[in-house]
Amino acid sequence: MSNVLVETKNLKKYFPHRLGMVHAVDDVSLTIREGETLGVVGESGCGKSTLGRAILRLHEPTSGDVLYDGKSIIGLKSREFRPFQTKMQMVFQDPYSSLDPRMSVFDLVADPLRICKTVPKAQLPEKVSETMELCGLPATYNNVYPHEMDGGRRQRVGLARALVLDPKFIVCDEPVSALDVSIQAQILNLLMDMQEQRKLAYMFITHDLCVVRHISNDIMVMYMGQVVEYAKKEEIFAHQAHPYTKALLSAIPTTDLSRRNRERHVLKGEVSNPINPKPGCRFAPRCPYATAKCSEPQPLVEIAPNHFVACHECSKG
Amino acid sequence: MENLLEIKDLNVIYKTDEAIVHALNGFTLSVKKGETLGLVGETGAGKTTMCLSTLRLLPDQVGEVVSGSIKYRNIDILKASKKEMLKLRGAEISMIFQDPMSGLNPVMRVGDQIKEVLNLHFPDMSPKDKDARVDEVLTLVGITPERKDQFPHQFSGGMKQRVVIAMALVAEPKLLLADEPTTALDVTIQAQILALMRELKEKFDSAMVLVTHDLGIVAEFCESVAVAYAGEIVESGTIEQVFARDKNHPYTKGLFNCIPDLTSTAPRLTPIPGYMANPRDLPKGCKFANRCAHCTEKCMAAVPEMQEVAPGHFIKCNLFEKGASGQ
Repeated sequence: MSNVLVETKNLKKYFPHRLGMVHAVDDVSLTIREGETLGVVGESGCGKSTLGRAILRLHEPTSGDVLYDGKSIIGLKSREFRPFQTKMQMVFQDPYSSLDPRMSVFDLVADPLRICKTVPKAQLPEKVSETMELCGLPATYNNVYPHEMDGGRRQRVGLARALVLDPKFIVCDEPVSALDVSIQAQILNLLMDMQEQRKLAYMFITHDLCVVRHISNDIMVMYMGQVVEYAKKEEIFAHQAHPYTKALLSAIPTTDLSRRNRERHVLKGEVSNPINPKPGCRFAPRCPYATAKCSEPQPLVEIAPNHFVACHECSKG
Repeated sequence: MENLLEIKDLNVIYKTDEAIVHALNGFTLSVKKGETLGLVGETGAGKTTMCLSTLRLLPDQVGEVVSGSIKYRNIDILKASKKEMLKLRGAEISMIFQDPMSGLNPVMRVGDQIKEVLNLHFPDMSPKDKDARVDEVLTLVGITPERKDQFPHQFSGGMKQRVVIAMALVAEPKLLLADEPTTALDVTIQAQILALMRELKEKFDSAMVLVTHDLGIVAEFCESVAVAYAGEIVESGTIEQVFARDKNHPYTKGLFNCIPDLTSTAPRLTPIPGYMANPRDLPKGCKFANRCAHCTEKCMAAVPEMQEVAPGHFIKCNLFEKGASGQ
């Protein structure tokens, strides 16, 4: 098995709010190995983007630790942090707002190099064109501006910007959810090709379970800032245990007509307020199996090798 | 059954400073009473333009219907007066917009925005009934009525979309044009909303055009489906006909192949190569020709005829020409 590249330990990120603290990410521990992909699934507001950003220190974590290659990156001064920054990059969700409209494609891709200075100035144009080519942007795009491109090509620019620094780890925050399906497949294939060629580790944040099943090795399901289930992909799709994971899976629309009349677990209600949540299971208000015991804290329990679930019903045996 | 909406050979262009954008090119579609039709297509397929044309909401001076006709019941939409259209919009035909931000007024409380529809179409309703109706419809879409005094910026993207859906549903329209209504929502909420829309649809016997790019939603939710590409319908039929994957337009086939699903084990997806034809400079023949593996000279020369491959199942492709061997 390959080395652990990125690790978080009891990572927490709280945001102050008029009424208390928003527990955006609450006690998340994860490991991502070199060349592997962790898929983080959850609904909007579950803290998956905040988690990705906290790992890259785009949000300074409230407590807990982030290790890159065994070294803690929390508390490092910006100069000490710079070498880590070039190794850990991000691809953003919205290819429309994450690119400066006044910069050409060449400048957009060259920008990280100019800031981080990972290659000598003389080699910069070569490095930029090489990366652009890799991402399917021929040199004819050098002087094209973002508004002249469609979403798929813009997302290629976003990916090129991340790859140009030769990172080892990329947080992909819903990189394909704004794209058309035929373009989505192109970008997913590109991401997977890059991973194979460069042994990249991805943290792939998405709400689309089909995409996550396609691209991930491990899957982490989050609900209101907490991990409710964490396992290998095959395990989670074959033996999902947490009621929330089950509901998520049954809610996916499928083109398979034979699944049309399957039993659906349509959840009632919506995600409750993440401000000062009560100690127990946060999914309990929507859970069809909730009991009195759910008001107690639910630790992650290993119910099968490397299969963790935060639900007392699933772990008792 | 009688057709509620009939669009025939519609051509719509957008005039910009630099060029003329051909958004719809011979778009033909009919919706039966009480039917749920899934309109599938990617960006630029003309899905939204079709909805806007039906409501006569194309941007002034820019969008123009060049030819074709739109008939709702016995009303010729393209010839209807402004006053008639005002009566139709919201009460008879209603639209759920794709982008919740542009559908909501940022300086108006969401409850008041929903009530605006009632004020317009039910002037005789008492204020108390209106408030009750707003509470009811908000609860239906999963928002606690206490939040009706909040402003759009206090809602998340998904919640805003629900407000928009509430606005469209409050007057109980006969035809609902839902332009990607659940794209911005989470899957569990999407399941709720789709279940809710199905329930309301049955209750009021209204028809719906569900515009989406998600073939899964169409399979689960609709009775018939139409696939749009570059401003025309390339395939239409019942769900069973199209999703049997027996006879499909090459584009539909491509769409099926490039979505990851829960059962396939292929290590890589098969994307449709290339990009959609530029709507400012469309090819003379089949619009999909440059991305199609079965392209022949005939495809480049002229737009293929619509072929009926089975009763009610139409495919606009030369592969299915009478006498040809097919795929």
